[in-house]
Amino acid sequence: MTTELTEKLILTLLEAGLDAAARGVKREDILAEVNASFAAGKSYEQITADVRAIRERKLDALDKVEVPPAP
Amino acid sequence: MRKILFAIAVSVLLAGCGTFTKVGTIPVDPTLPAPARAVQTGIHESNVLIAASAVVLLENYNGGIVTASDFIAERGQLRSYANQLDRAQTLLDDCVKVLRNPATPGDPRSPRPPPCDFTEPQRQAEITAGLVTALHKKIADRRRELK
Repeated sequence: MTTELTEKLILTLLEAGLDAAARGVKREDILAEVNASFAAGKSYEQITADVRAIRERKLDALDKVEVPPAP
Repeated sequence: MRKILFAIAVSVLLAGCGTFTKVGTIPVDPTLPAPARAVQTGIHESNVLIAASAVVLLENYNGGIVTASDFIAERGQLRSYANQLDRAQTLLDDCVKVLRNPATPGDPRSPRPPPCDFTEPQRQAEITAGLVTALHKKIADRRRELK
């Protein structure tokens, strides 16, 4: 393998790893929010409902965005 | 030096993938049978990914790195996948109810419901999880492409 190829592979691996980590951060943020919601000994049914409620809050925030009509 | 850099790159890649694919963080009822626990975990994971995708999509739109038409299309896709997940959750809940409240044999007022082996909720949850993961990746990747 040439030096150039090796360096390219290293950069690609680094980029892919950092990218995956960045996606994970958002997921971890949501998980932290979920975990905070069931700290007080809730039932599993309530936990399921809480996870769904958090998802709905995020989707509702998207729905509230008014997109201007295309020119 | 190159070997050290390669090792760092691989460890960052593995750490990133590990963060992204980690499952089972949200507790699931341990009294459920294993297939039901797997389906519930999958539904939780997909719900979390949809929520995370919604956050990133909103940031992308506010930051001007996603067009209005893409924003509308992906917002619609997220809503559609959320609805599919709700259907999978309903199927799972129905299965669990059947499992926990079997009808009394021989009681004509309470006919035995059809057995449920969790295949259908599992199928629904898996299909949706694949779609959600692909969309989440697409939304997150766009930010990097347009930087």
